Amino acid sequence: MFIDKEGNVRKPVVYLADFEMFLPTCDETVKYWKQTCEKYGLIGLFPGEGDPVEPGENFWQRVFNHDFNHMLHCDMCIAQLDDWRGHEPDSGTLWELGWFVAKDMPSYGFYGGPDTMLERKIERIEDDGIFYDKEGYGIEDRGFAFDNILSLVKIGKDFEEACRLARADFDRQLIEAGYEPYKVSE
Amino acid sequence: MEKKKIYLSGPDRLRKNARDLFKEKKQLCEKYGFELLEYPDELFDLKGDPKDSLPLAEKRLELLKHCDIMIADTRDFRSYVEPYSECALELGMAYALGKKLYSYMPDTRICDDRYSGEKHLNENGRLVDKDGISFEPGPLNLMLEYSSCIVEGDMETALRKVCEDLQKGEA
Repeated sequence: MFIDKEGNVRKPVVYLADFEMFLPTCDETVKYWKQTCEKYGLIGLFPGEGDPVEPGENFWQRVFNHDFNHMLHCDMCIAQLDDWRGHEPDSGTLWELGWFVAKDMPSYGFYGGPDTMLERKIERIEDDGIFYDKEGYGIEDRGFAFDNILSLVKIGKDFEEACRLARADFDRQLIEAGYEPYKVSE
Repeated sequence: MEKKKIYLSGPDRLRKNARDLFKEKKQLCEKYGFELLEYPDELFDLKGDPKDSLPLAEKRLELLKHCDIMIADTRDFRSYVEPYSECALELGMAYALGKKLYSYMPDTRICDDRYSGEKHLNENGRLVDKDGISFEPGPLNLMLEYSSCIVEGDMETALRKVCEDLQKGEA
């Protein structure tokens, strides 16, 4: 439950921004995410849901439209921020998360890697107390695992923690408005 | 006429000579009649107190809100076919804010052509990398590809494209 922009108390629809569709474990993972959402009073929406995009002309443009249309129907976002093809999160996931952030909609992430950028296993050289990767790009030392702009997002260690962070924010909002907090089902 | 404001996103701010590189890009923008919005100076520092992280990110979001056009340097970054995370997140933010988006890359071949590692066809006939992961269909993830105009080249190439689009009334 949360209070939407029209003042209605209802379950928020969560856009599940992720890279699972590229992985063979996708169905199993998405099933777990959706069940976990339910436990915390959220409705998980996976981008791959809904009518499949038919093959044909402008196929990828239509895939973009399909996923973007799902985003437009969501109230918030939980994004998978684990490393993808290197030392960075998936760019498509970040793009989607950024859209929700700029729309000032509740935005969360989850990531199970090291706590800081410096702890990431990036090949490096030291120069005057600063570490640079082999291409000469500095490895930021801000006590954060990601680029600073991701500070705009609350990040949990796993999917369930991200749901808990969202739940805590929504419960605070419900209590302030005189409602009971949501009872998480165990 | 007021100059159009450009917000630049990209990994060059992590270079040792980042401030000089930024100055050069600012001059380049001026040459083409644009104003490059200046980052908060502390963003060039590669060290910072965690408690300053959120206020700095908020300043960056405010800056992004003030631009007309965003240009992102989406070269591969610490990965074989993925851009710098800042660029991806900020392109999504800028799209939400209704900005016109441009990306430049030194190589715009599609991801599987750019990937120099081992690749093979999986049981479904899809080309996959050594970990069995399939590739994006274009030079970038489709959310980035279909929301921004991608040019092959550098910042100046992107600026020329912006000028061209402005003349056509498309930027």
